[in-house]
This record gives sequence, structure tokens and C-alpha cells, in this order.
Amino acid sequence: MSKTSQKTGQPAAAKRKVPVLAIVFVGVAALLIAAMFLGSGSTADAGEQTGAPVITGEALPEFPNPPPFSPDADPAFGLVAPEVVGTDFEDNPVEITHDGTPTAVIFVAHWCPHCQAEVPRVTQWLAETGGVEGVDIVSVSSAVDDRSTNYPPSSWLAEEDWPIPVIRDDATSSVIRAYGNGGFPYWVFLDGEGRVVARTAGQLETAQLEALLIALAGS
Amino acid sequence: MTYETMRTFFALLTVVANATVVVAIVLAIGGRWSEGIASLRARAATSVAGHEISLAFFVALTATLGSLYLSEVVHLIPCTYCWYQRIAMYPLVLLLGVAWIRKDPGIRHYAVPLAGIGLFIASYHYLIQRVPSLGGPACTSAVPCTAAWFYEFGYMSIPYMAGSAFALILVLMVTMHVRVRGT
Repeated sequence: MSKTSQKTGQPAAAKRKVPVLAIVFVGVAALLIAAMFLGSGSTADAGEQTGAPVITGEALPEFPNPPPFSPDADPAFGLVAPEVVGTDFEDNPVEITHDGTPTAVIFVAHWCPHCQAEVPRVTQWLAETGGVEGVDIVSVSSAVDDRSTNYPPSSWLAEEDWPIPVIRDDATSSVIRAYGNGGFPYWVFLDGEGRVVARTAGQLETAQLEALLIALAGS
Repeated sequence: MTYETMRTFFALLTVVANATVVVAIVLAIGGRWSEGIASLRARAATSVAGHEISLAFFVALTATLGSLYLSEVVHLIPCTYCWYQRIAMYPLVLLLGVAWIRKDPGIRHYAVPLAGIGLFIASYHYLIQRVPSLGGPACTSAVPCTAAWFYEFGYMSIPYMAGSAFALILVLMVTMHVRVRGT
């Protein structure tokens, strides 16, 4: 006859059940408490990352998706882009005006990995070549989102030594919407009278960028 | 409870899920060559025996509630691949919940394909976040799947966390399958 416990009638050698669910719940609670200590912390004041640019003129048509095969297939081709008067992260005035100088405008978003790749490449190209004479380049920081990665854009661009003047778009990304809302990084190439020569969405190889700027200089 | 705290909490859960999956794989493979590891494997399987469905249910429930918190409370907008992962994860809550009540080990035949598909999509989503050029040349101003809302601990994005949950559910279902098949 096997030995049994007098109290429960269970075999004395019976294994105790592991309270798996209880252990899991306790563990999860412990992780939550740990997260309260690890996850808290003040976020340094990033300052104003969006501005209040003034946009004058008619908005460009939406950038087509899929992108146009050639610039003249773009509905914005030849149209006059809006002028923009805004400020950078230090409140210095930065403008997109049609003053006779061809202008390339690049729209970037801090959270966009394509912009994160494009910015250092363009920075390096500018450092090596000095850009294309007779063509201005202006950038616009759009779609700012403090919940997303690589925030704040001011720190990101400062760390990249971004040499191009930056206009802070407003909280609703009015400037990029006025320019057709293309995907980031979004380039808009304007001749001296502010007419659209080309628009591209996505990373540009430096050779492509240089060719476009040279064509712009001659326009 | 701040958003930062919840992100860290989800990340810690993910660490535990990853560790569990890695240990399970090591035990599964190592047990073929080492009696000591095989013994450990048997003990581990015994400790969760009968709880695989409930544990998988809570994993799916946590992942579901977590994703809803991020979209409905924090207002992070899900991209297309996020929606595909939700399609794989949300039904698992219901299926595993019912299976838990009914004590139905047959659930593994339904949960494994769903979790497997979810893991595949989450893995691809994570890949295009880390290698954005695979996901296209540009970020749309809407919600591109190549952009991550955050990288907790420097590498855990939302699809990484989702994939970890799918992997853990798979491990639990496979563990149950081995046990049921062996009885």
C-alpha cells in the first residue's frame, strides 16, 4: 500500500503544481513598476520646432502618385509656386521668394529614414562641391511630431551640420501642402520666376541632384 | 502612467518574450544532443503544461491592448503593415480565449497559422524600418511603414514587439503540440 498523507489522501511524493499564471502576473506587475522608474524622465525643452510661415500665392497641385515619368508630365510643371516667408529654429528669417534666382526647395521630416539618409549625403556634397553657382537651396522642416523618432528636428539638423537655411513649417505642414505634399524627402525645383521646373519625391543621388541644379541654373 | 512609461513597459515585456523564445529554442535543439538539456526541457515543458493556451491568450491580449493603447490613446496612426499584423493578432484573443474556456488543444491548428503569418509580416515590417530602401524611395506624408514611431532601447519598434508576441505564441502552441502528441 502506498504511503499517503493522512490529511489529504494525496500521495506523499505528489509534486506541487507550479502556479504559472500567478508567477506570470507577479512578473508583469514587477515589470510595470520597473518601467515606472526606467521610463520616466523629463524631456529637455526642445524649443519651438514649428513656426508660422506666411504663404502667398496659389497652391501647387498634389504631387502625383505614382510620380510623373518626366517633369513636364507633372501637373505643376510651369506653374508659379507660392512664396513663403518664415523663420528658422533661431527665429532668423528665411524666405522662398521669386527674386530672379533659381531655387531648389527640399522638404524634410525628422522621423523619415529617407531624409535621415539624404541630409548627410547632401551636406557632404555641398561641403565637397559648394553646390551649383547661381542656384539657391532652401529647406523646410515639415510634419514635425514629438512622439516620433529623431525629435527634435532642430537637434537632428544641427548634429548633421546642415548648411541649408531651414524654414520651420507650421503644425499642420501648410508649406509642404502648398507645394503639393510629395513624399519625403521632397524636392521642388523653381526657376528664377518661381515656376516649377521639376518635383521629385524620395532620395536623390548626388549626381541626379547636381544635374538638376545645373539644369536649373541654366533655366 | 505616461506614454514613456508604457513604452518602457512594453519593451520590458518584449525582452522577457524574446528571452523565453530563445531559451525554448535552445532547449528544443540542445535537448537532442544533451541529456542535461533534455531534462531541463522536460521540466520546463512540465511547468507550463496545461497553461499554454492561457499564457498565449494573455500574450495576445496584452499585444492587442497595447496596440489599441498606442493608436487610440496616444494616437499613433497604424500604417498598412500594422493593420495586417492587427488582423493576425486580434482574432487570436478570441480564439485562444474560447479555447482556454473549452480546454481545447485543437486551437493550435488555428493559432499557429495566424501567429506564423503575423510573425512573417512583423519581421518584414521591421526589416523595411531598418533598411528603408527596401520599402520604397520616399516617406509619404501620411503614415509610411518605413518610419518607426520609436525605437525603445535603441532597437525595439512596434513591429518588433508584435513579432516577439507572435513568436512567443508560436512557442507556446508548439510546446502544447509536442505535449499533446506525446500523450
